[in-house]
Amino acid sequence: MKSWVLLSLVLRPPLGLDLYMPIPESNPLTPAKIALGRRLFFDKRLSRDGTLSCASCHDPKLAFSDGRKVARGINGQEGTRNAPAIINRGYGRTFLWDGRAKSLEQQVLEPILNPKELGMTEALVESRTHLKIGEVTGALASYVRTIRSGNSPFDRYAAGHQRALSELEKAGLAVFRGKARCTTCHAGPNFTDEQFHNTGIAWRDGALVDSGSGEGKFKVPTLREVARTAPYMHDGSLKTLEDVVDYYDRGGNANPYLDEDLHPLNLTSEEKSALIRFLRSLSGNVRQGKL
Amino acid sequence: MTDNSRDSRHPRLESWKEIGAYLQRDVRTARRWELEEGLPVHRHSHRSRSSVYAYPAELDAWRASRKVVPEPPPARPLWKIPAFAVTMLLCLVMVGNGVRPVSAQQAAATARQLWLTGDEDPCCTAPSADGRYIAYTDDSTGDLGVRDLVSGTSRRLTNRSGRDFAEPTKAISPDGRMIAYAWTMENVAELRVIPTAGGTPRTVYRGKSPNEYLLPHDWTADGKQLLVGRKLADNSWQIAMVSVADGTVRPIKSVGWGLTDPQLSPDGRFIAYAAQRGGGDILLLAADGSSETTLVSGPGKSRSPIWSADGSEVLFVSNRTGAPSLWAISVRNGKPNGPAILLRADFIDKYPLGMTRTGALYYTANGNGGTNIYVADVDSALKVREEAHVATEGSFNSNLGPAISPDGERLAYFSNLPGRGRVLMVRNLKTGEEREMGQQAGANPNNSAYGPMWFPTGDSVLVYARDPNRPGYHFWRVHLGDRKREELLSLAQLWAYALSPNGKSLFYAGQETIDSTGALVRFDIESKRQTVLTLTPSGANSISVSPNNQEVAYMVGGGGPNKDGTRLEVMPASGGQSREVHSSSPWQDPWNVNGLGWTADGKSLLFVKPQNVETVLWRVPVTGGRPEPTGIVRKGQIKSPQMSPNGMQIYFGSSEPVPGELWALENFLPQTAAK
Repeated sequence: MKSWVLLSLVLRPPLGLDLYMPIPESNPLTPAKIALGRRLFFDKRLSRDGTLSCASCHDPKLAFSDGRKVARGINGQEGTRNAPAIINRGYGRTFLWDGRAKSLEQQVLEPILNPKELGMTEALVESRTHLKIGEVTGALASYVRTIRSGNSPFDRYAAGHQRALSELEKAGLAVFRGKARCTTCHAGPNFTDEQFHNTGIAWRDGALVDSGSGEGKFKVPTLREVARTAPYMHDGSLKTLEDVVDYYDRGGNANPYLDEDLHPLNLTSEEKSALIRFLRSLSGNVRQGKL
Repeated sequence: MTDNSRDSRHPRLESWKEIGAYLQRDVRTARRWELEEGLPVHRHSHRSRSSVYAYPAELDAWRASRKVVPEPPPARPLWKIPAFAVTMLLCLVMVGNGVRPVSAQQAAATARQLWLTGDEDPCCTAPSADGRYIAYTDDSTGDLGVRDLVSGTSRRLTNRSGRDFAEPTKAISPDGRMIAYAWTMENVAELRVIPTAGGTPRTVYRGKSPNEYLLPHDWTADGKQLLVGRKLADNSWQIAMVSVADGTVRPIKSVGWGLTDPQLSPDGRFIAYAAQRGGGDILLLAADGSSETTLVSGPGKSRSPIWSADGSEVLFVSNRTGAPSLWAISVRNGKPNGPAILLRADFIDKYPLGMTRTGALYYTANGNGGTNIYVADVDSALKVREEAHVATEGSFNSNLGPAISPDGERLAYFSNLPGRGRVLMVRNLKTGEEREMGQQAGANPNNSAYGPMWFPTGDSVLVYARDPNRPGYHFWRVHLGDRKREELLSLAQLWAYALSPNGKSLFYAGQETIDSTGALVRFDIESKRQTVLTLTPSGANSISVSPNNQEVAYMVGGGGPNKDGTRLEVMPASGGQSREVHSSSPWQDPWNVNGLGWTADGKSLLFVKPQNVETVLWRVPVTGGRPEPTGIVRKGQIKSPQMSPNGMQIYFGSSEPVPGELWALENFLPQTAAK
């Protein structure tokens, strides 16, 4: 495939997304790199025992999540956090639930080297792939940048197609922006402010069980494809969207670090239903590096 | 936003005028702050309401969050600045009249005043390419207009109806024939274009939801597209291009909660913008979305990027050396091409608008008004002998809150110093010596009503401040000798306060906790004991304690949902029955007035009352009776009236509106000067 074909795809994002996606000068996007990244993403040689790949926790059929409460690594080891849906991460500014990775190139290496996830070493990656580690991370990051979701019913509605959302979904949008004030954090085309907040999820029995980025704060995830990415929250502790809405409706778990924007919402059952319907309208077309 | 933002004491502000009044700034400053610093202004809530509104508590929080930028070390020692920049600094400011073409042979930079703008606000609008026209929003009507700077005439282009208005951001087309502007109406905003010569506007884009609007910042050279800041319904912002023909929107980049001053390069390839409201890095975004580069990063904050006429440089305002200054950086192929250079060191309260094709930089100046401390000599009947004069020459237009020392020999006040924030000053009234006593503790409360208050020993003053790291209002005792600070009290809400002359009690109107009812409270400093004197759920906006410490006067009303009348009351400082000294119809601006003081003999009260566009200082016997004007009348707000201990002078603060000005800086860029 000619490089200009890919370039045109990159420059024409799905409806609702930005034209500009930050791409580091040190890792320019090329078709070859994207193709390599895609192969590596599904390559089980990137796990120590050859049983798992990136796609094991980021399954395209589940909008690049895994449907599990927490991620499961080699030897059936369970982590402590939910595998996030890696949708539209090319637009991100910080990565992983606690934001410790500052670039996608850093991020993609973390699960590969984590003993409880893929359990590799850099040397082992290089020997198995016959690639330098920088080539592996560059290719994987390039592929992840192509995983984009847009053109959802909401996007079509926002573009002026009044019928793209049902009346119930429109009512849910009003709740989302209004009474529930979800847009305080879930804003912009990607429905995240890329910031870190304490919603009280990590507060159990009078203590923080996971400090996240500090004081129990975790990154606001995108809501794109949210209907397909259960369970929810950084620890996967809420099974359904209904659970999530109920959780925020009661104002989260009170704790010393609770975000000041959280408080009981007093949503009616109709408002909750509408809100959930709206959230389901955020599922659209997921594109990925396959040209 | 939290629940307490809906403060029953301070009802919603329903117009730009009310918002400006609350902030003690003019309308244009409030609008500029919304655009550039994220002032929390809401739009389109109910049909029965105005198109904009704001919550005082949110404004307070915003003010408290406007952190003062510490003075960073200079990016480059001055001696390293190229000789041409130094030469230009020495040759500045030649004031002329009218618009003249820039001569390529001019050797010296010139700054010319083009227009005293009055209510016609050219905020945020680049001039036409030939420099002849500039679009404006009429602050008094909300209409769009255009100023012919050659003939000196203004022409209104729209006929506002209802609560519609033109947003301040506008853009004149490259051929000068059209003006793009945002027109805000009830529940919807439109991007429109209208002929500069007048005519019927055409809607380019109509918001798809109530909170969405597009602010035009620039045109492409072919006049086919507009560079816009797009505010989405969730209040986040995008940089986008819009087709002038069919209104198709092409989002380029989402920028979160703030977008400042995007400007298209002359060749249309790059967009320069400030990364954050209030200033930050200057970024260069490729107009095709293919890349982004940091053009200017710290130290300090940078804002207002403007492309030079040939696109070889980007000018910007930065506080990297302390005070806001004008800088330029060379650009080549969308990348910085060398270090930034200082062009003008004195760009305080100046906002670049854009450049003409001949290289003149248009900018606005002095739109913020000034706050000064005045003194007036009075006779035995408390009538002024002559017009009040400025009591402090230093930091003109930046001083607030006079407090006369108990011995009458010193004046304490605050100065808002560029790049340093609020500094406590003490002036010796005999010698005129002024001494800095340190930066005010905590965040700058940005409230020009309340200054320091003396303790009777004359060696310390009471101040209050907000703290960005914790909620509420905090009182401090500042010892002038060693400048140590001692925290006295924290409150959830504060409306007014006064220190008793004996320094033993602090009287405040406010809420100790956010859940408590508003009250007038006496806080005994030594015992830390608080005594509720009376409940004031609707607040109180001024408090003053009698010279003998026996009585406390306060003003209530004037705000609240019922817009009830304003009352001046006096009650025993120990508590008990209050008595009304004076009342009248509600006063226009009940917030943060601090317009109350006792005469030296304790027999009368001085109080401030707005009268049309002016404020008047009155005197009323403390036993009641007919108020008499003192003869002190100001165009702005009179604050903190205070009589000297000998009863011969009245000191007061006053915020005076300063007319906006449009200036042109010419022949100032190195290339231009060298030609």
